[in-house]
Amino acid sequence: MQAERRVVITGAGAVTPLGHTPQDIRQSVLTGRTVFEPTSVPAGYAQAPAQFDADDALRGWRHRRYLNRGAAMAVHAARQAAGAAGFAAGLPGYCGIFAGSGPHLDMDSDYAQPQHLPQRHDTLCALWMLRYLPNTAASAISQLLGARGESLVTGTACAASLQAVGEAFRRIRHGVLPVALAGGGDSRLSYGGLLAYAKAGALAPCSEDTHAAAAAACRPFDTGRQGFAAGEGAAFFVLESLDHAQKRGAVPLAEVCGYGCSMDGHAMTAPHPQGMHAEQAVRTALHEAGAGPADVTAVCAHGTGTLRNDTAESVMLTRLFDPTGHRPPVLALKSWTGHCASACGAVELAVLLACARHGFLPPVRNLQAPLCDSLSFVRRIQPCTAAELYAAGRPEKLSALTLLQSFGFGGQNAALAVRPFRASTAAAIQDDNIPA
Amino acid sequence: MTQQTAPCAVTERVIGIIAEVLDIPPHTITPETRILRDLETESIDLLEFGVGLNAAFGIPVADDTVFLTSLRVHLEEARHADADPYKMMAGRYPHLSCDRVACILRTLDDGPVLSVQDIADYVLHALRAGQHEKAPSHAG
Repeated sequence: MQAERRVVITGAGAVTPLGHTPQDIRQSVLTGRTVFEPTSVPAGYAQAPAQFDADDALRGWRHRRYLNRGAAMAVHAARQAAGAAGFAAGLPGYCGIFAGSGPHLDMDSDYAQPQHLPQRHDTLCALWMLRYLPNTAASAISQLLGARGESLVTGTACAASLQAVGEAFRRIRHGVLPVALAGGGDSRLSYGGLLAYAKAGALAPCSEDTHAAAAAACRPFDTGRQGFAAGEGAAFFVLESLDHAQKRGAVPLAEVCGYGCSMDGHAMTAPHPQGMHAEQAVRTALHEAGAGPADVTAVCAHGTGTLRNDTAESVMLTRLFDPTGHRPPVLALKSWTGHCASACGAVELAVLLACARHGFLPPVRNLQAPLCDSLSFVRRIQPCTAAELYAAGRPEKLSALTLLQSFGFGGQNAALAVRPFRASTAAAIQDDNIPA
Repeated sequence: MTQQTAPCAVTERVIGIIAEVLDIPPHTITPETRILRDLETESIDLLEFGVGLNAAFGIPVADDTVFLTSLRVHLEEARHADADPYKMMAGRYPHLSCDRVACILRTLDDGPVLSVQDIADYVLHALRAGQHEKAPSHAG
């Protein structure tokens, strides 16, 4: 049996409501800039749109017509990640692709009058169904970047993209693949997407039709929380074995150390109220990392701002950390990006790396009255002890772990333990390995 | 003859459909452009051309006929049956003129023969035969 390999992230690409490059994301957080706005149809909620023009981003590739908005974001982010990792001309043929994907609910952009479906369909392209197939983004990424290795598309609701990263991690760790591209892209900022969550009672109401009210709507872990704000985005990462990365001289941005997933077996949408099975996913991720709760120096919580998620998640985290007497800072990045649906885990990893690698953690926005005092929520921009300097040649002298959690409808739980590396002077000059 | 069925207007519209699907400027396409030889056309693009023709002209589109998809198969069948290839062509592709059929048979060895004008001629033939639909079809 082969020894387990260490797995590092050597390139990141993202499309987020905070900006698409690490510099822009950092700048947004440091200046408190968000893009929350009131929704129009259906009205009364808050959304965070990403500044993304699919035609512009994918110009020159005519099959872009077959990508829904989330898939187009995914393809763009994947190309950025490959370029950032030094694979601008294409990925090795043995590279795998692991992509989280959500249901496409954007009927209104495909039909002129969604309320009269299906009166007219002569405007649809012949292979219109590709816009609805979950693996279309992965197929496009494979064609554009030449990655043809073992691949998987995860459709596990809001846990999907974190699971995609975890599944890629496991295959590299166990020697199935030397390198993989992993992440996801999704958008529910459409009539169908918003309606779905509005009907489920998951969206935070927007008290007034103003940007200020929209910016205040999502309040993770606050006693006054009423739901989430819808977001959209994508993020992909090049994961490779440390050996593979070192051989080609790539500088790691972070190390992926452990992954766990589980199902609640409890309800169709509600999480288990005590997060019993979410805890199992978290403990598995820590166990794979060879660590325990005391080694966790930051938690990037799922933190949607819904009544049930935040209660269950805080109960679970309290149970995890209380016996250690250790209270790592808890982040809720959805208070910045909105809930990017199946892409949330990957998008939040991108935001986390953009900030933690430069020494700070974003606060939980709109948190005035925390729902519990047993957790240490980040209240203002906080210096980050979770990122260590990556020492080339001596990567064994590292410990701090950040835990990422994604819990989806259907009781899908995923957790990832990562070790962000602080941007060294050289890496900072390269500006997070993101090409201009 | 309405403006839509004027031959040059039809050709122009066909060029517009092809340009949109292939994401290239219309001025790079002429009636003589060979679809599969001069342009980077894939099989799924032919599907999109077909849908575009149906939507633009309200005509039923038989992909096999308009895109000469099985031309070589039919010619081989005619050869085996010792049949006249011109007659076979006239029967299967009634939209093509005698001159065009002769040209196709003469240049077969040079590569795929389908031209933009062949598609425009198919559309004109369908419009003149009154095969256009009153409203776009509701498949399924």
